[in-house]
Amino acid sequence: MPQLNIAEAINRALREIMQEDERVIYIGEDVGEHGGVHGVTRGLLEAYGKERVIDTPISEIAITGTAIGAAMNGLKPIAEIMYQDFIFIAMEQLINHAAQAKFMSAGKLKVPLTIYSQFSLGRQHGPQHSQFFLSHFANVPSINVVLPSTPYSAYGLLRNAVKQQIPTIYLVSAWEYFRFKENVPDEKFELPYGKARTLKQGKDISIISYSRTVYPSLRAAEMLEKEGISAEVIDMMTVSPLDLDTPKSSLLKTKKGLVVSDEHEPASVSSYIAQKLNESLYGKLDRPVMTLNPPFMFVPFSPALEKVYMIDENKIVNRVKEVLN
Amino acid sequence: MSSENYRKVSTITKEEYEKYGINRDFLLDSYKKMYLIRKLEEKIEYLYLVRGLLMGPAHLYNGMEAIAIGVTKALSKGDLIVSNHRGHGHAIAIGITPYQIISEMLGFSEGAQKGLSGSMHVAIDPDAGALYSSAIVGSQVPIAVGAAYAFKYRKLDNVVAVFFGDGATTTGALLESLNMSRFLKVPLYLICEDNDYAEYTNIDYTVGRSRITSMFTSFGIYTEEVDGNDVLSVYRSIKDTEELVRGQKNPVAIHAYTYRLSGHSVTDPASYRSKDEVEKWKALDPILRLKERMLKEGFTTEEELSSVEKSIEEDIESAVNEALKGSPMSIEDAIKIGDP
Repeated sequence: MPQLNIAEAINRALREIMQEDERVIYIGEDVGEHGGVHGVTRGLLEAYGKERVIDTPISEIAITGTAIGAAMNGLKPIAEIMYQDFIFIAMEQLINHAAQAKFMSAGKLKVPLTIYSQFSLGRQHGPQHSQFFLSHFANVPSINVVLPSTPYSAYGLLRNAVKQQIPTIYLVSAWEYFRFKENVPDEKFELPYGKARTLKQGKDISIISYSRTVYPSLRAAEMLEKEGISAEVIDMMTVSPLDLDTPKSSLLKTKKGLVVSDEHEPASVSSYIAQKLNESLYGKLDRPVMTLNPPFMFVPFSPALEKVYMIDENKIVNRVKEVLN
Repeated sequence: MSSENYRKVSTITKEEYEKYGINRDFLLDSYKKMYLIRKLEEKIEYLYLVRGLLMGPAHLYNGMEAIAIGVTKALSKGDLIVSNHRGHGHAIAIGITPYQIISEMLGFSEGAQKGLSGSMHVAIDPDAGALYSSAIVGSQVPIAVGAAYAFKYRKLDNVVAVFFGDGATTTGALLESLNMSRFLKVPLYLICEDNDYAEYTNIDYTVGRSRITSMFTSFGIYTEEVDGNDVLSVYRSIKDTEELVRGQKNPVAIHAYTYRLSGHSVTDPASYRSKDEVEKWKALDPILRLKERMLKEGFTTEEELSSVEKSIEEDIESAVNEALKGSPMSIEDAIKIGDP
């Protein structure tokens, strides 16, 4: 079984998807000749040609709209928005049209559209190239919000995106692209949407996370193990649809929980998850499910400040101890 | 603007009818459809203002009928239109029925979108030839670019025609789309229905009406200026540019001058317009002009047209009566529609 990093896993998934289905096209800024700003789409243009791998002008509204129209008319476009911060330019297309079309047409229109984007928190990219917002998307009906965290999930979740009838936002952490390797089976597979994955078993506390904070959560669990604390680690995989059953079963066992996320806490998906779990498990836990988020401020550029801002394994360990005591 | 990327279109003369396939059937059918749109819009106005049966916004198409009909009569099977908030005329032009439109406006499950979307989205029925309709000014245009790209990519000979108003020419979505459509070389008709007003504000005040044409040409898009109140000018423009669009896969812009006979929406008395201005445009009414032409050229008689008109009015009346018997779907069913 080959060890791949996330960038390689995504590249493999894209090549396979395009090989298997001629309806898939890839459209975005610098995705073809240049192979993407991080090299994730390298080789696609050579393999599949200019009709399918399209280098566009810097026009986020038109990139997204074009992909929506193509999706409505028989194709399965993947539109890349270079940084998550730039999706805001295209939010009108995404919410009013991509997400609403199926409802608005009483089911006549399908929009098998994938929006591929990354966020660069942890890469000293400053306030407008580092932001990680989920509630903006998760608050919209009829849209999948998909958060790969490891090469295995990056591969399996992306393969599922082109099989959807509603739009999928596939949002990956660029900080992770080349940082970790994982075994990804040679056999093709897809991971379902709305199904969390338990990455590590434990009995004292459930750490519930998604996206970039999954690896720090796993490392925190290893550190806690050495101190005799057994933490279960759950990767939510998608936050829309949202699987609350997996964390619920885990919490019924551990009785204590912590949701860890790179989002700001107010009106976040993380606080929503904690709230729903606390509502449904009222009286059955030792204490309410708690959260760990970065401070409510924009991401500072200063490498020293960004490090303080970001969640890492040490912060998770400390927060777990607070919850346990 | 050079003459290479711009033309002012004139009407089709009687001598040219054969070349363009214009005959009695064509003219009479155009007349029927335009008259149907007009009378439907008048009925909607009545159902709103007099009967108080309809709610929400409704942007009427009366006065602009020649554009929807001229464009759709020039399209072929499998082609798609993309509509906007002022879309009743587009819907009728591709065959969505008055019953479906009124039912939709009543919020009933018999409506074009089962009552989920209302007046601004009646023209969505891909199988009938209407891909999508946006209530956000300008936002339908990039979607039309993508639909046209899909036709080209799938090696089909079909084209897309997207309708937008003069008010859309100041949106980022439209401006990005002009470049994108040229860059991707897509078979797309960009139909600017320039009805003089962007909501309540005259387009001359915010843009300069004549500047709209040069906006298109400056993006490298071949553009025609058309009398949008003459169905044959509109038809000619689409037909004459067909080789550029369907054949060579290029976007072409049609800047069609027209006028809303009603206000921005059904509840707008449009008191910001002078009486003289309205009278000037009433004299250019596209339906009256077609009628006069057909009578003058001997294709029909007053008697035949009154019987045609009477039958259309009766059809609308019975469509309304039938629609009023409908009912809304359940919220449980409505929730399921948006599910994955």
